[in-house]
Amino acid sequence: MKSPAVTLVTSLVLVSLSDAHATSDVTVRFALVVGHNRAEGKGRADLRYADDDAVATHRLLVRAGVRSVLLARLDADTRALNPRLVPDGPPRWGELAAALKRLRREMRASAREGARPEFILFYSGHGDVSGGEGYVLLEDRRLTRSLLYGVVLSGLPTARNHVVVDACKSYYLAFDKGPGGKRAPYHRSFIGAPSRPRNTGFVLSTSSDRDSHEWERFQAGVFSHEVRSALQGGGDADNDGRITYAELGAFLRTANRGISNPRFRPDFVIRPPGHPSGNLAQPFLSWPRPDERSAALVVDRPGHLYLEDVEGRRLLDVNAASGQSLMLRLPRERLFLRRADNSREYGLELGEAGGGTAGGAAGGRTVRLSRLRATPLSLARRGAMHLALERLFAGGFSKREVAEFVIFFERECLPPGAAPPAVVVSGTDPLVVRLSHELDTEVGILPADLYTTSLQLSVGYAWHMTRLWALQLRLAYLRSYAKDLREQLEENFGIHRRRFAEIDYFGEIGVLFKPIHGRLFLFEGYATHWEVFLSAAAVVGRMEGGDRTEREPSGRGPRVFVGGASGIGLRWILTRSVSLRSDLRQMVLHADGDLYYPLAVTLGLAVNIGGDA
Amino acid sequence: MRQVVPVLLVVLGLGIPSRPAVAHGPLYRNEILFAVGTMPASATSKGLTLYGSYTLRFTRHIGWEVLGGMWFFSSRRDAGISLEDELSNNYDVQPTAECTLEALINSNLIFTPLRGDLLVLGDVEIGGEVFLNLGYAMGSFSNDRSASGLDAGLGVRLRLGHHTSVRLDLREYLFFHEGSHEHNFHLSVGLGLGF
Repeated sequence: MKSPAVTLVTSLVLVSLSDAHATSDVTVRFALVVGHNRAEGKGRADLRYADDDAVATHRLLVRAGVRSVLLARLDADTRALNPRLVPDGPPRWGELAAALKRLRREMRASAREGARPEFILFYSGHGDVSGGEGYVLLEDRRLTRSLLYGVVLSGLPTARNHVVVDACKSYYLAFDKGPGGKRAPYHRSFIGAPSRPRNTGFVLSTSSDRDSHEWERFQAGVFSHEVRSALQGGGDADNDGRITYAELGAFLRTANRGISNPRFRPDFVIRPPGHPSGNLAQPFLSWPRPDERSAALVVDRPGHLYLEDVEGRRLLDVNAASGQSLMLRLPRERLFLRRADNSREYGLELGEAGGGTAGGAAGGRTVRLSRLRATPLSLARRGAMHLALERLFAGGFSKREVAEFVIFFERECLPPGAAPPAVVVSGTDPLVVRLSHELDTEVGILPADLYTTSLQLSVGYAWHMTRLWALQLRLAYLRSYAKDLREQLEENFGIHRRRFAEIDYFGEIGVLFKPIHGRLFLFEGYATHWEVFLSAAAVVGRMEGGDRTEREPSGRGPRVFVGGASGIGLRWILTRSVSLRSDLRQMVLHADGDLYYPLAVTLGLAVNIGGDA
Repeated sequence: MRQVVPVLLVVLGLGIPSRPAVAHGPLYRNEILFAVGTMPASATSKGLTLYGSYTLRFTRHIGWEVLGGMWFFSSRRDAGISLEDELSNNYDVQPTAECTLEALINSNLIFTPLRGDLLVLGDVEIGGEVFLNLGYAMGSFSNDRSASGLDAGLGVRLRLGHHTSVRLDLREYLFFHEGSHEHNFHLSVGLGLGF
């Protein structure tokens, strides 16, 4: 039968675990989407589709439940295609700063409510390098790397940030330019740019001095279109509704690898949040269950398909490998799904009044490709670049591509000496949970004595003065039990029980030094926070028993001891307010000229009051 | 039955695919460990140990410590604090001959459910793992007897670089002999070399 204490502790742990899971799952995403067609000066041509990319990305994010702010000046074609869409402002620095201010306020509010805010910055437009520093263009000024790090991404109350840039030389907006104007290995910039927020991931359209491509067939930047295709489910290899950096990177790599001419092949860079190598398992975007804003199309047949809306806007391209199904998240409107060779077309009615196969979540609509009827089509194509770009999405995408990309990333992209396992975290990341006041209760044993096992029950208070140091008080009561050897000595050889030393109780005051803390992921998913600490304390208490003396021939009576204790401990932070800790302490005690060396192993449950994350 | 256990471990190990089947494969597949340890809770097997092992990692979560070996290079007896001496000096009791663990070999499945990042002094980032082990052990004792048993434990790995890591292992060896069993708690700290 379980004792009430065991039941209580078990209940507390279970409640704590469920609490931790609940709080860590509430991610609220905020986005700033900027599109700007204009070039700087007369030497370069304006872009045609940067504003279209911004609009399409904004719409996608809104469907995914992201609070998105759109800064773009729409050209005539884009306005005609989106007559009811009014951007939140033009792509100017003042509007950008004001939008950021609003978003920061909303992020803080959501954080206060227990959510975990994340920030997405999407930019589509012209970019270049000046003085070794990359920049992208706004209407009235350059958005440089310094501004990006020092203003845009600075002080965000977010767990993670995600920066997507589709612009020429976008690599240098995030990373340093190498010596002599050459591309620097990306890891140098990680080390040489300490101001780069470590909780920020990057998805960039170029890996060097390359230009980005637009393609009129997509009516979009090629890279932006690929990113949107992945985020709408084309890259969700495990169909869990979360598109991770691994999946996004694998999707982009697979989509582009069919183009043999590097001049035409999009060349992207992807770096997940973390320093220096990042954790590819982190999600970039998570989709809610299909609802009134979005529906789902299960692509359960292999081959290259693309999707257009009634206005002819190309929403995505996808190519499911044989045996791989992909769940696409689509707007609830009339859509056309076509084979890439334009041989067949499938009509999709995903609106409220449409057909399709209802299923999935309540109120949502899920349609399977295998149940749709196709009609034949024909279309002419032309041009060398068209022929090259038609090789986009030529390869099938599946979980295998994700696995290959992860191996490729670790072999080709990790900087020398970087920690091999997934690296996440930091900066303003709540990964580092700062404790303030801690009350704990511990149970433990003193197992090292040959003759006696002691059970220890203690209560403690720790004041965590800084992230590295804490002051700790502890009171402990011990109950001792004879081991087999001692029982034999007492029973068979008449050794008096007072010949064996036993600690009755003690108090200690000392410090905790916490040099290591961080976050470990359970199977690359659920995050758990840990802390390793060292302890040192002065100890005073009462003991009885011990070697006989002339004055006490039958053994020692009760007496006071003083001494010290040092040890190592591990803390598992379950929630902001509850943690489990385990301590291993070696004590050196002095009592009436004798020394004792008890070793204590304890396990405790701690309640943390105050602090932050 | 005892002979079946190591065979089963070998079969299990060979049955796991050599290529990672999931997205997160290990960066290196082989690891050699050199460690120094102690058995702090043992009444008889005091002193320092040397421990070494070779581990084959199949995925980031599953590995097989193919063979490990531990040897006491400094015992209580060497330090003049044997149980025999203690009982004789303190209680005038002459015990029967001590039976102390002198060496062992083992083979374990290694399961690594937790991996991530740790910050050292709030600045330097290193990778960290928490792993569990379960396997077979055979111990050699001072009275020329040997015993088979179980090896279960918990470990923490702190990665220093691509190929090096520091490992802390806490293991419980449970040996069975003629109807009785004996616990041996082993604590070790070592350097792992991956390749």
